[in-house]
This record gives sequence, structure tokens and C-alpha cells, in this order.
Amino acid sequence: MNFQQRFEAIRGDMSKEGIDLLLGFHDGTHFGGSVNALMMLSGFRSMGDAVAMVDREGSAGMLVAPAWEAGRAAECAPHMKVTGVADTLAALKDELARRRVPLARVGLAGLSVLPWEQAKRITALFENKAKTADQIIVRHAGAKTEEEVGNARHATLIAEKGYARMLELARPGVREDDLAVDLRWYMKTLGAEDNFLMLNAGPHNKAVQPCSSREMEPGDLLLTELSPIYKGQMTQICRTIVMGRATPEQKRCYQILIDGYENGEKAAKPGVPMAKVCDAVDEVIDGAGYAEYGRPPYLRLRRRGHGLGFGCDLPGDVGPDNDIILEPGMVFVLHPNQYLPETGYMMCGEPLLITATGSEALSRTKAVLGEVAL
Amino acid sequence: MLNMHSLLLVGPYDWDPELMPRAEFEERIRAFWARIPESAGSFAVIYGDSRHHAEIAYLTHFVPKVRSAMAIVPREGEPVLLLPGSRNSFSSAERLSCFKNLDLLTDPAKAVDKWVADHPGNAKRGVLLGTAAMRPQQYQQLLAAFPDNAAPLEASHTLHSLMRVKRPRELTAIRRGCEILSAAAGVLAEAQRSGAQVTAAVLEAERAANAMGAQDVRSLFSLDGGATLRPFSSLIERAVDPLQVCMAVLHAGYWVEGSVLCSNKPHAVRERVGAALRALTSQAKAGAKAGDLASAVTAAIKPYKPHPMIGACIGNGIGMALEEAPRLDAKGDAVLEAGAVYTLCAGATDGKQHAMLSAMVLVGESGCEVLWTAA
Repeated sequence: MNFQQRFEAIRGDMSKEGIDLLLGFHDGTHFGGSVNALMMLSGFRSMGDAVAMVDREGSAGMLVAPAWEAGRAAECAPHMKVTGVADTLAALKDELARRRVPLARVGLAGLSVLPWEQAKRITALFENKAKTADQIIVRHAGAKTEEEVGNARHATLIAEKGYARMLELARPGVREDDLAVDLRWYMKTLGAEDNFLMLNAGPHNKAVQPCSSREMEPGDLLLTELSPIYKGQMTQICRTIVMGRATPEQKRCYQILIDGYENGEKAAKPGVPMAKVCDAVDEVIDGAGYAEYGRPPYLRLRRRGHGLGFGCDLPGDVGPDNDIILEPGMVFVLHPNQYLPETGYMMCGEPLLITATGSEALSRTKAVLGEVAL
Repeated sequence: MLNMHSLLLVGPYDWDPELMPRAEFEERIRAFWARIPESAGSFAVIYGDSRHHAEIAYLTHFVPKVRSAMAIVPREGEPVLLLPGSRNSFSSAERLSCFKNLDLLTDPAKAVDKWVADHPGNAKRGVLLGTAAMRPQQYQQLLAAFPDNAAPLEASHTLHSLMRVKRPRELTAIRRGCEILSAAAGVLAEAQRSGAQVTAAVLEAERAANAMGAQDVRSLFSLDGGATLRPFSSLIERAVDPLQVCMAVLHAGYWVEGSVLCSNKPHAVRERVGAALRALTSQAKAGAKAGDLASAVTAAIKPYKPHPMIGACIGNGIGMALEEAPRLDAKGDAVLEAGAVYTLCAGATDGKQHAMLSAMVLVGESGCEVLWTAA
């Protein structure tokens, strides 16, 4: 599948849902983890307000503020007529008057991630008659396009190079935030436009967290989620590094997580509900006697991984209640990260691409327990 | 200037009592409540996220490095920081503030209910700060905490007016930020002079700023001679001349910003814009009207036209947010205020050449102190 095919599939669903004009909004505040309707329709990561406008049969367009963002938006969305404006809502009002589309035949997507007042103004503009249309975009967002998969592969390569640099730089006495800043910069020099980079260390971690200014110490376990974004596609690898030689207990515990990962990877194939992948991981870790630690309060609801992307994180969490059926082209990180009482929290995880017959880890080298020689 | 923010903030955000002692925040909280009538309530609910967090950071030093968080800051007593996720993640978060009372944030209304229940004698009447950035569902949940007859007062405007005049420790942080900006701009200019590719030059400058202690560096650069700017989205493997860059540097919680134009060739528009910026800073003083300042710039750049990215706006307040009030627009009625810090910008184009240059200024009664300038 390519972008155009996805775009046409969305357009096709507009007919079924009685929508003549689909609008995808975003305000440029990016947290990840939710569907970005603007990006899904246009490929454009905005800094400010923008709205993608998809006509059921005619052309597609985008209104972008500030106006000087129009050039960049047009590069990202060659299939759209991009107009730079000072105020997207005022411009949209004019656009609606020009098009004369009945308000009840307009679909709105992305309102739930806008600031509340902006969402309220948009809803009022449509006199509460427009339809909610997020579902149309979500429906077609699960499987990545060929280009997105290629970008996910490249992002993973950047993540692995980032990890190699981390092994070089991580030492007792180095502050977590200094290490994180360097890694972020380094991965940017490799082309990563952004990075969801979690990194923290401690003698007995309870969770992975954003970095602090704590200096690493001998015996610490350094945890990281390296999550660079390359051309709009986020990936993630999860790794654990011991500041010194790993103890036999640490190696034993880490192997349990690796075994859990391997079992989960085997279960990941087309036609299987995501919950089965979670179950496969749990089977190993629960079997080793750590069931209690694979559930709240030790482990949050996300459980064993989550979808990857940037505009969209479908197919969602690798959790026991996720009944989404895996399809070729879906990409998610499988990470049996969890707290183990003997060692504290440990992490291992790889991005998986669902293929026609099974799954493929996008990372070239899978997680092993890292060691920093002292 | 509008810029691209990161999904997750990774720089040094821990509270440093040497830079900002707890007493500084206690004084800010006292000053805020002194401006709020007793009848408005006894606690403030503050929202912040990884992009919008000026209000919560000003009163608590806490910056949500990922997604969002809230705080309850009472008129009397200890603030509570409310964090989503899990208590297992508190150990990093508690280093971010001088206030160590952390609680789990599930539902904003429940958090308010709990605070009121834990603090007998306080009616369920409070004020809101920073909530304009909240998502609709989150905001509705928060409003549900308040009875119909006690709708909370939105008090961000009051806090912003307090934030506008910078306190001595804030100025120390901003001055240091300007030193970092100056060094980074120097690295950028040197890289451009030596023929570095666009993104390589920008990344070198960002690294220099990070090495000097910047928490965050956000750059916009131009590929079209300075007509427009763009954020980093991928590597650009070619050099450009001229290279127009707008770089924002965050240090100790305070933003500084600079627009520079690097070129190895004569650049007539830049020369004229430099003169316009000098004229602008020479007229900046308490009470100066934005309209008058904008007119001075328009006159100084003639025969060139205003740069379309700037238009009639010649700057804005700056501090814990990149774009603080007031916006200095020719058509607005904003006036400069003594003790406030502004980023002032001049820009021009002749259709072929374009330039934008800016300065950071601290406004006084009879003039301004130029903290950094590209002119």
C-alpha cells in the first residue's frame, strides 16, 4: 500500500458515511500516542494550526497558519492545494461559504487533541451538525505504507546506532541528562527529526522514566527506550546496560525477558489478535514465577508494547484486551519490560513488522544485557 | 517565534536551589495570591504539558517532560504536583520541583475532590491557570469538579502580568541564556563561513548551546535565502548563502531567542535591517507604544518592504514561554513595560534578498539594556 492508496481508501469511506468534506485538524502540539488526523491525510507535521480538507470527489487542500509554513506543507503534501493563512478558522469559514457543503455532510477529525476552546469554536462553526470522522482515518491507519515501513527501518537503524553510542558514552559519573542530550543530538545528526527518549539509571529501578540530572554509579542498571522519528515514522528499541559486569542473577532475570520476547515474536503473525502476542509474553514470564510483577501496580496498562508511528500508534497496545487483528504492514514494538524483584526494572524490545507470513524484527541486532567495563 | 517542540524533553530540568531557591517560588506564590480576591477561592489548579508549561513552571519549577501534568497550589500550604502514569515514575519527577508533595493524576475532578477533602475548611472554590491548552475531555473533567454555582475563575492573565516583570534571579538566568545564544550564533556563523551544510551548521550550533547548559535548543532555518523558515525534519546536504536562522535557547527555565543571517557576501537588505534593529532598540523604553516602534522600523528599512514573516509585529514578551504577552503589533495597543524582557525583531525584503535580525532587551524607564543583538 502507498500513501495515495490509503488516501483513496479514506475517500471511499467518506461516501459510505455520507461525508462530502472531511476535515483533519491539528494545532502543532505533539505528544505522540494519538491519531494525528492532519498527518494521516497530508503527511505534514505542523508547528501551528492547520486543517486538511478532503473533498469526496474533487481535490484536496490544506489551510496552514502561519502562512510562511505553506511552502513546507506543500512539500509534504504534493496531493493537496496548500494555502497559507493567518487564521485557519476564519479561512475555513470562507472556504465553507465558497463550497456550500451542507454542514451535516462534513466530517471532523482531530478535535479531541485540540485545545478545548479551539475545538469548541470549530464545533460551533458547524452548528453541531457535522459528523465525527476520526474513525474513518483510524480504520485505514493500522497498516503502514511502503514508504512508512522504509522510514521505520531507517529510524530503527538510527536507534541502533544511538545505542552503540550509548554504550561508548555511558559511564559512572556521567549525568543521565548529559547522556540523553548527546544521544538526541547524535541521532539528529543521523536524520532523526525528534526522539521520544526515555533514559534513567539506578541500583534498583522501579520503572523507565525521563532522564534526570542524577550521575550514574557503578552497579546501576541504565534503562532506555530509544525512539527516533525519521520522516514522520517513530520506532523504538528498549535496552538495559549494567554499569559494570552483570551478575548471574541479572543475566538470569534478563534471559526471562528475552525468552518472553521471543515467544511473543513467534505469536505475532497476520490474523492473530494482538492480545495473543501479549499472552505469549505473559506465558513465559508468568511461568517463571513473575506474574505479579507483570501487572499493575508494577506494570502500567500498556503492558508488553504498543503500536509505532507518529501520526498514528495503531495497532495499539500489546495488551490482554486488545482484540485488533494483526495485518501485514502493521508495526509495533514488542517489549516485555518489567520490574523483577531481584534486579529492579529491566528492558528489552524490538520493533516488529507484520509480514504476509509472520513478523520481522526491524532491528538488526536484538537486545542483550549490555555491560560497561569499569 | 513559533517553533517545533519535542515529544519528550531531555535536557537538565532538575530543580537547582542555587539557581532558584525555594523561597523564590514561595514569594511568587504569595505575589500571585495577593492579586486574587479571597472570594475567588483558596486554591489554583494549574495545567501544563511538554509544550505549554510556563504557568506551572513559574510557580513550582515543575516541567512535565512528557505529555501533561497538573498542580494544585493553595493560597496557604504546600502545593501538590499531580502526575499521570504510575507512582513508580515519581523518583525522576520529584527532582523537578522544590515541592515534594506528589500524587497520582487519574481524573482532574477526583484530584480536586481529594485535595478539598484533605484540607477541611476550604470550600470547593478555586482558580484555573494554564488550562487554555487542555484537551476538551480533560477540561470537561476538570470543570466537573466545581459546583455549578462556583465556576472557577480563569486567572492566567493575572499570573502573566506578574510574570512579565522579571525578578533578579530570572534576569540572571536570562543573561546566561543570552551568553549561550551568543556563543551558539558564533558557532553557526563560523560553520556557515567554512561551508558547512545547512543542517550540519545548525546542529553544530545547537550542540554548542547544549554544551553550555542549554536545556533545549530549537532552530528554524531557511533554504530560500531567508524568505521563510523551517524546522529540522531531515538532513539537508548542501550549504546555503545566505543562511537565515532563528534559534531559541532555553536556560534555567527561561527562553531567549535570536534571528541571525549569516552570509559571506555583501547583503544590502541585512545592512538596512541591522540599522532598523538598532533604531528599534534605541527607542525601546517603558511606555513606548508598539505602533510607534513598528513605524520606526518601517521607516528605517525603506526602500525595502517589511519581511512577510514579521509583517507588522516587531516582537513579543519572552520568558518561561517563547511567546509571552504582549505581542508588539503595529495595530495593537501594547506598550513596553519597565522590568520586562522582550525579543525585538526587524525584517525586510526587496523580493530577492530577505533578512530578519533580532535583539533581546530588558526595558527600563528611560531606555533598554540590550542583552543580545544580531545587529
